[in-house]
Amino acid sequence: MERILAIRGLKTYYRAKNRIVPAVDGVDLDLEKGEMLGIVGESGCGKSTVARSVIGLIDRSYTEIAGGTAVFDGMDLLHLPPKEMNRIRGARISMIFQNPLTSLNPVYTIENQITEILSVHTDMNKEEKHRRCIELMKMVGIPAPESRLKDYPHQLSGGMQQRVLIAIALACNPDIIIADEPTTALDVTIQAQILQLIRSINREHGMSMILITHNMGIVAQMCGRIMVMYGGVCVEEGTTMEIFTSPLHPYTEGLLRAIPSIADDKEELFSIPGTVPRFTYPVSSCRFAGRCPYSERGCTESEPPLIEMENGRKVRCFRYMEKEAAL
Amino acid sequence: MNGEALIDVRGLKKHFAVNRGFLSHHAEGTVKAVDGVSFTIYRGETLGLIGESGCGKSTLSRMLIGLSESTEGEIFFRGRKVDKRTINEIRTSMQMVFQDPYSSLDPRMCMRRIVEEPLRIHTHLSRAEKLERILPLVKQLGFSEDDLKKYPHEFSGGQRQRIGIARAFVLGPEFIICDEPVSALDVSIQAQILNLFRELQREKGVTYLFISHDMSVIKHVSDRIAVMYLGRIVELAGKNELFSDTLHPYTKALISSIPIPDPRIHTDMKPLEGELPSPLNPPSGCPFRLRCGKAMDICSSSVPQLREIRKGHYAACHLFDGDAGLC
Repeated sequence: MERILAIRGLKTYYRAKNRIVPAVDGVDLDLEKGEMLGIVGESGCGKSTVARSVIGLIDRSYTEIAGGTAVFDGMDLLHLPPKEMNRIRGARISMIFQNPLTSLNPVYTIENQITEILSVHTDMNKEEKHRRCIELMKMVGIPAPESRLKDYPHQLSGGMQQRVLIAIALACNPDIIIADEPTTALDVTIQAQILQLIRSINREHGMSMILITHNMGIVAQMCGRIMVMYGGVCVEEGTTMEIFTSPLHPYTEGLLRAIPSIADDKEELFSIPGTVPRFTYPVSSCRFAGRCPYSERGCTESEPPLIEMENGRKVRCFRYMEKEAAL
Repeated sequence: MNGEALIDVRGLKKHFAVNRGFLSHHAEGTVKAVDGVSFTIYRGETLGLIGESGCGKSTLSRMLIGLSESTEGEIFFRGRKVDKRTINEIRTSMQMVFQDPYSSLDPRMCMRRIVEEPLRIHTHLSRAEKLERILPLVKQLGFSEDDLKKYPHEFSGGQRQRIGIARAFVLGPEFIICDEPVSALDVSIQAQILNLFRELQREKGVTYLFISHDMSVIKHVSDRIAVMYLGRIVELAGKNELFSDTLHPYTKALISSIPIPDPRIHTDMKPLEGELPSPLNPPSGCPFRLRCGKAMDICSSSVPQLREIRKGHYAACHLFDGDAGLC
């Protein structure tokens, strides 16, 4: 398989008043061509910051890329001059955001917003743009697109707004689409429609995608490979089957057991005690130690490294290192 | 479910007049947010209420608790009709836990004032007595006495939701409406709160109306489940019957839309086509017929009524017109 994006040691730090918050603290990630990779984790774990760092959408006034590289087509996206980044963002790597109503401009028509990206990145004439716009709207399943062109965002339902955002993301046939919680704001039946659409874009157009979500159900059904994040680092990575059938990290295990399930009837749900702590740079313990049922003294003394196995599975936990050593 | 009826709702309706412009009082039409809903909640049970946004579940709960007046229909609480005169007497027996733990707590009040507020309004206890009343409760919910001095912003989302729960329980109510109490929380915190609701119910014997759009959460907490669509209850049954012997096509679609968090079980996520029709201009006959795969001629001409199809299992659908044995 062909690797399309390779992130190494990405560190994105936020400067708060008197401390440094390591939102992303050394993340490696590979995206293969045509694959759908899932990033899961709870709010504040850094999953959106990874995406925003790669695509250059972080506010440099209080955010700093403290290290790492993100290589795409021979270029390091993290250190690209803004002008060149502008040529990539939206054209070759595009993004679908969580809240469609706030992502669309309320005072421009749908046609305006879809063709805007074509005007910026292509030299199509007016007629071509108009045709492409209708073609895109058909592709994302907006019924009677000709009659919808002159509508404003508020005239569309949440599901239709999200389809418009997807059309904008698809407009220039990008190599990578990053979808950040694309269905969180939608109802389940509409969510199913949008997920179906995202899946067909991935399969039929062979587009590589990163799907960021906190919903374990969505990654289970959509993604081939999953990265689980906690406190700004990757704690576990593997194929979807591996992660769900034999989770290695206590956090992944806890997350999976905490979901109420339709299939079985549990009296009591397993819950991870405590809340996500706030981390301050530098972190010198396992980030999950405070909430981990298996934590020992060693866990608070140093941070476990991310161990990579032969089959590409990764886990960041001392317990696993011990098991490995015993074998 | 046998037992004493705590709440009895008969033919409840809420219609909103919609004006043409914001200066005009000329009514353009009416939105039937809740349109003829009847059900019973038994003492000590949890009735789950599920539906997509805009189906009227919040409007229904606001009428039950007296925050909004009904257009038509009757509500009985412990056998007594609820009206303007009686509502104040029963207010102390009914409480509500809100969805957003960020906006439902006054940022200028410390935790002690927030939790004591219902006591201040409804009782004449002294300062010390009030503290005595709230202390065991807040301790049970995992807070220390020092936390009482803190303000909402000092707490995490899960902790704030627990403050909201403490406030709801402080008067020792019989009935609590939980309006999407976990949808703003992360999975690991969601499990803590769901367990807490259950523990409090076991201990204090309260009755819940639990509103959610998340089918797996509803399944976990409820004894019986009511499914709402466009202002009407379309199916009502014990939770196991609802999932194992689903009658209404809409409930079937809802269940099959949920992405199952297990990659071994393939959800076909066969999306329901179309979207919730505008409540301003609902289809004639059955409100669901435009999205229903099994719509027949009769569906466009007559509105199906909620009838008992099997013992304790109600559905509003013409498909079961033949099985009218029980009613």
